[in-house]
Amino acid sequence: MIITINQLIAFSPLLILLLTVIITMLSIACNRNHFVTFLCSIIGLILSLLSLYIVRMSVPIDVTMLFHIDKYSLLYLVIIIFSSIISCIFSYSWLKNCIYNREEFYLLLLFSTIGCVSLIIANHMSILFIGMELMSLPTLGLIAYTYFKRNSLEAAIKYMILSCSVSVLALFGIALIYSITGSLTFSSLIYELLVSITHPDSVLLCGLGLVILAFSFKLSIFPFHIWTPDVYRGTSSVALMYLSIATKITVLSLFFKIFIFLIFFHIDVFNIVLEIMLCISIIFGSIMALFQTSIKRFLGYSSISQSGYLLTSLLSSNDFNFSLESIGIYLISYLLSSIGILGLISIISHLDDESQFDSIACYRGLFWYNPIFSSIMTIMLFSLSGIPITIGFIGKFYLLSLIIKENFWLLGIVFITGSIIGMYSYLRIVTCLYLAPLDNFNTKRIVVNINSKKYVFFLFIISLLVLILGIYPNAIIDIISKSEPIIF
Amino acid sequence: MLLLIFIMVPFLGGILCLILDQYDIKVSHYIALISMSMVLILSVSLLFYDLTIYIPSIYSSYWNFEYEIPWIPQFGISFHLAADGLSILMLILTSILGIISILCAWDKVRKYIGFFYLNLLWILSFSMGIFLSIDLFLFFFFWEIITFPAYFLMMFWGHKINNKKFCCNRYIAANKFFMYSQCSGLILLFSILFLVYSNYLSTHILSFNYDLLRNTSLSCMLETYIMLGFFLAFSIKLPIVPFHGWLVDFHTYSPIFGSLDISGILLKTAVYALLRFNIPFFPHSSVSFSYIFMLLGFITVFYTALVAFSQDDIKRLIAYTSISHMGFALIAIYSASQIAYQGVVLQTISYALSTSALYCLVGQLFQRTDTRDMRNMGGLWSSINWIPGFSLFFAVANLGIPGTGNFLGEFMILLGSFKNHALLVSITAFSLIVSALCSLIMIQKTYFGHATVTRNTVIVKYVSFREIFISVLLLSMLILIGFFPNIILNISEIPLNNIRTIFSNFILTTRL
Repeated sequence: MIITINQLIAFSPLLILLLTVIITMLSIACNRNHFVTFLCSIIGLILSLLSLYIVRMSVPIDVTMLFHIDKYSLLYLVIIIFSSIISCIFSYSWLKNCIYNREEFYLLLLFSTIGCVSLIIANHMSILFIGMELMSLPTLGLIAYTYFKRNSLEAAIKYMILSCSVSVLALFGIALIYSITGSLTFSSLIYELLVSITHPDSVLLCGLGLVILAFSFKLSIFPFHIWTPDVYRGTSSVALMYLSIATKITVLSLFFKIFIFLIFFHIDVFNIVLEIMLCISIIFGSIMALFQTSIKRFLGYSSISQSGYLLTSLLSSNDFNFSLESIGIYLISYLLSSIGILGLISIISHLDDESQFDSIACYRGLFWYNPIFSSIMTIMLFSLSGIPITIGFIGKFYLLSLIIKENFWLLGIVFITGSIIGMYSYLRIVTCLYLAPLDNFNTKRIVVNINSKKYVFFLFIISLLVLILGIYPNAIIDIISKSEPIIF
Repeated sequence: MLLLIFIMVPFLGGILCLILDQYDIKVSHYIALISMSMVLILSVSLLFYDLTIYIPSIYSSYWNFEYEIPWIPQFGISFHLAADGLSILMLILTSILGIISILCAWDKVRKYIGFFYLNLLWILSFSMGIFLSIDLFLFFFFWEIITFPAYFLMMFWGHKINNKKFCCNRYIAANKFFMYSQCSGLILLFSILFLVYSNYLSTHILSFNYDLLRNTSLSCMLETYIMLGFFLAFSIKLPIVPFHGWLVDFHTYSPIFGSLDISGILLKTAVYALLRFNIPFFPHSSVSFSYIFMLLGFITVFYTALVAFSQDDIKRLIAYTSISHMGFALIAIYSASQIAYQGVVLQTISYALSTSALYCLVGQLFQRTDTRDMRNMGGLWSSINWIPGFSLFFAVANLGIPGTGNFLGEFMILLGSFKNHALLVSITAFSLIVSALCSLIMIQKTYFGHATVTRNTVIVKYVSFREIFISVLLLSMLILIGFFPNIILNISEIPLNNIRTIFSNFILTTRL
């Protein structure tokens, strides 16, 4: 097998990340130094982000038969690596209070990022499986990093057992696909579907269904959502930032890649099942979010309904580009507002007493102590609920226009109901911020804890970005509409 | 460019207030006042431009003023403002009420003055946006974000009832308002998108432009659905009876200067939107539903007038009567008669003036007696100098006494819609008795009768010049409109006639 220079360049983001992992590992082995490790991993991530600029010239390209890079995957790569960088930055201040080993956190993060990157550019079932495991096993470490805390181990075990069992199912699905196609590349799968377009083989469909099931577990769509609130609660907010942004977006991109053929080949079973799952998860997520008292559990439930909204764009079959555009916009809005809200939570939480700031009641009257902090939070929550002048609204606008364009009546009604319920649940937290402060010990401690001015400033910039893109979304629409994919 | 100033001046003025507030507290009062006066002068000056109207056709623009820059070209959305006589009238009304609410709040707001004026001016700015925007997306945009300043106005400066049990009610009411308006917004967005895509399917032009969408050809079924969506969205804000839950609570807990804004401006946006969008867009289905909507208006008129009886809180009473007048507006809008349409505009403007005057007076009364409960008042006539007299005038104006604009508005509505809907209108006319009773009860309970013992504050006889000025200003405007309604009628005649022609053409064709 000959690898040309071009392919090597195209492969460089992953190579740089691999190199970074090795260097970081060596530096930890020689001399434990928190700052150096942090610097190593940040530089590696930034370099790999920059290398995407060079990769841009040579896409679309196949790197061996295992990987395929096109313009659309570049967009996802940017999002993923960006979110890893952000998680690294936020984890630095958080880990500073740690008296145990701090450096491995970055290592786990980098490993998982490699998994994400390889999943996004995967073109082969084996990479799909390996990447998925590489992505989710290090996150176990991240979830359980604060093992001395109460809910942490529980969350990790829950995630591990469910995730592993679902991975096994995915593996079985892959085996079924292999038994029919005799090859593991995606193109052979498409070929097989094309050949048997009138009566697709039921074993093949079964295999595909199992793979999709594994994905929908990672995305926490309705029947597979059980882990979400508990894991969200037990995880530290820094790890959660990574878990909820990077892994979700990665899996979504892959979901999109696979699901789009099924739409293309008009396999209605998948469509109907997906539509029902989406409807239930939108409604269920927003209703359950209403009753939460813990802010992280609230975010968990709202993320269930968010991923429901996200997958709406999968259902369209006519205008493929439009749904890609809408999913891109929605993802970016999700990225920005998740960074905002989880970043805020992570700023106030020290390593060991994070659970104290978990309840929503803690934030009561925060506006009167720290207006900037609470206005950032307000903007982020409004953006998540999709209210005008935020980028979240633009995403919602796209999805709604997609629904109307494709005439999904049921989905439209569910969408409106879900957003109204969701809005109320977000509004509940926003109101809490502005209520007259009680003589609350925790609220004052939150104010004391926010000592890192530069992080607040950074989040302030992000919230401004949310507002600016909400008013003037052209910039982002241009970027996304230019990155049209060439599907295989 | 001229039209952009109407939105930008209050918007930037609000930001200036917030910034300069830290240096000198008094400055923000003056900035707010100056910016609103500028807007008022400008909006009046619009009347003196050449108001020649072109013949409305698909190709030529019939707006007196227009301004357009592209905003999101991918969707055919542009920042498109335009004004005709109707919008200019609404602009003048908005700026007058804005100035009055600034004067009202002059020395009552004590905390966060800069932020208060930011919210107040933004409400005014966004409602100007609603009255001016012709791009549907832009319209929706203003329609939605106007809730934020109103929400914050209520959260921070809302009325506090000194009772342990009710301490959080202000927030509940604010949330209620927010949720109602978000529901209205979502339904509106859904229907707008529906309209736009059905236009796209037939013409392959993706555009949110009002003039283009007016000519959309829709199937009967689809038109009905979209029309109902628009109507639902507007009627939540109007509000008519099944959806009126938010308004009264909002009035109860919102600050007095804020409820003036709400009643004066926010409710009028819905009337304006019904006239501007619902009827020209969907004349056919509006005709088929017109009787149902008129019936809804009828129910609103009577139900709220009756409920107003049982109120003890003056503000709640006024709020209910103002809903009742909105019922009249609804009846008139769907009656498709030119006289009734003129009446709607007259009524909208004069009720905005008279109810806001009443709110102002309630505010002044509250400052002196520290209560709004009518059971705790009584016998105030001789205790305060000017307020009772003014209250009497505005209460009587509110029940529609000849010589004020209110009378003319109601008269024209009833006269205009009588021709086609004689029975409904003649029953509706009886509601005037109910509303007269309401007003009289309010006056009687508050100012006459025995002075109650529970009153524990010392009544100050002194009334400041500013307070008298507000009342005199509103009073003279009401009487001016009452005696010379043609000032308003001449301006609004042509745009209203355009709207009505579309509507009644359909009525003629369906009736024949």
